[in-house]
Amino acid sequence: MSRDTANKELFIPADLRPEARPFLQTSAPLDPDASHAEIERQARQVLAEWKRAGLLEAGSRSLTNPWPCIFERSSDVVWTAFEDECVLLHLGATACYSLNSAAAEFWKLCDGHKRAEQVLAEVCNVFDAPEGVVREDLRALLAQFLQEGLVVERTN
Amino acid sequence: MQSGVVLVLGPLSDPVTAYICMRLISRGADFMLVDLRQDRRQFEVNWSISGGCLEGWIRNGSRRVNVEDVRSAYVRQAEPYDVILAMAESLPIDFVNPVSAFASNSSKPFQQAAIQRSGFSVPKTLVTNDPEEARRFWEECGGRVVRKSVSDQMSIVRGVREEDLERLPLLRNGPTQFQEFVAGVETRVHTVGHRVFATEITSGAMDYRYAERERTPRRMRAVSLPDEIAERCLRLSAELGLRLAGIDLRRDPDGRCYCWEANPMPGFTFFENTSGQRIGDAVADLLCGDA
Repeated sequence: MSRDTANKELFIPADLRPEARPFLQTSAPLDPDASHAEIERQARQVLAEWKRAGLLEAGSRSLTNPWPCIFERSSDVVWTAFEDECVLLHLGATACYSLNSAAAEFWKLCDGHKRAEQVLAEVCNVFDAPEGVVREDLRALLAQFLQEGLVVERTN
Repeated sequence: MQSGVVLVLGPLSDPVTAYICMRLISRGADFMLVDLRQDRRQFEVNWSISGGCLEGWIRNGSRRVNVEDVRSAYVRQAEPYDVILAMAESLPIDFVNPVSAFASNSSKPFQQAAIQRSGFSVPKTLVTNDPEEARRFWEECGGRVVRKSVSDQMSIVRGVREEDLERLPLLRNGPTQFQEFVAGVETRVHTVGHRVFATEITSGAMDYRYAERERTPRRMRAVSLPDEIAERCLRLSAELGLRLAGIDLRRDPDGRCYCWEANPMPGFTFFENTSGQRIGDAVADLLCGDA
């Protein structure tokens, strides 16, 4: 918006033109000699306040019906099977994960071809467990895999 | 990790700047955060050209860094860092993003031409301050039109309803961008260097960023893009000179992929937090020379 239009009524009303960075005046400026520990402390505080302000909606990621979807292992992850377990290394996050046998079985089946419902059926066969129990466990596991960036949903 | 200092230019009170700092700290990177909300007297910049080479230093508090020791810079905010940016632009460093690349966001026609060259479709668009032209466009599109700010000023995207046409004379006070509404699956793609992170957004809201205003749920999840689309995104970022970009795509029911815009300063934490994608780590990799 140019300076000469700043005080004029525009076609896009004011309530649809939010301030881009209202955070600029919200806290005291950083001491330029602040240590990394102090920067980290303040950064954590900023992110916590941001979450509290409702700008994040953790619940929006809830997986209501993942079963028709196809998931594949992220290309950022290298992994190896060890006996019936798996160890995963997320290269982007430099984070390591250890999966028990049920989670490892699920992980191996996330090949980018099978729908989650097919994976569910195969895991049920392997572990001879009630379908309802496995379904809820897999839903939780899938949510965690997505949260950690270990798998991605494949689009057409 | 390569040696050298990473310059971070932005206020620590900004969540994206705060997150970048945390990612740099977690990998033990040497960085200088210049938060210009501080007393300006604690900050100094000095440079000269000697024998065709740039020499100089930046002092922040008690620390002084020579320009040859700077390996990369992350810019969250162009103003009031102009004096550093003008200098940093000429350094052979990884710049996320060069100030010159920000300019594309202020010129929609320029950006739309680049989008088309990258292989994406662009929705029918009109930028005007002429009420009659706007009305004609609305009628041509059968009333399926959205309105947006024409500058880099943020605006919440809304449809233009019949009752909004009464306000069209206000266009005389400032031009507005109108675009044909395209229904379809919305994807935000972040390109970081040569890496691509795609987040699919499902929301009944016209502008998913503000879904809560419309009391509409929003779901975001990490997805993988077809190779061809990912390549187009990388091509677009490269053409605009962006090492980090937030690209808004929509795939219509016929499979045609539209691109709305490429944001040179994306608030990726909003997406990372809900999709679990490690975008901040990828930016830190880029800044540390580990990408």
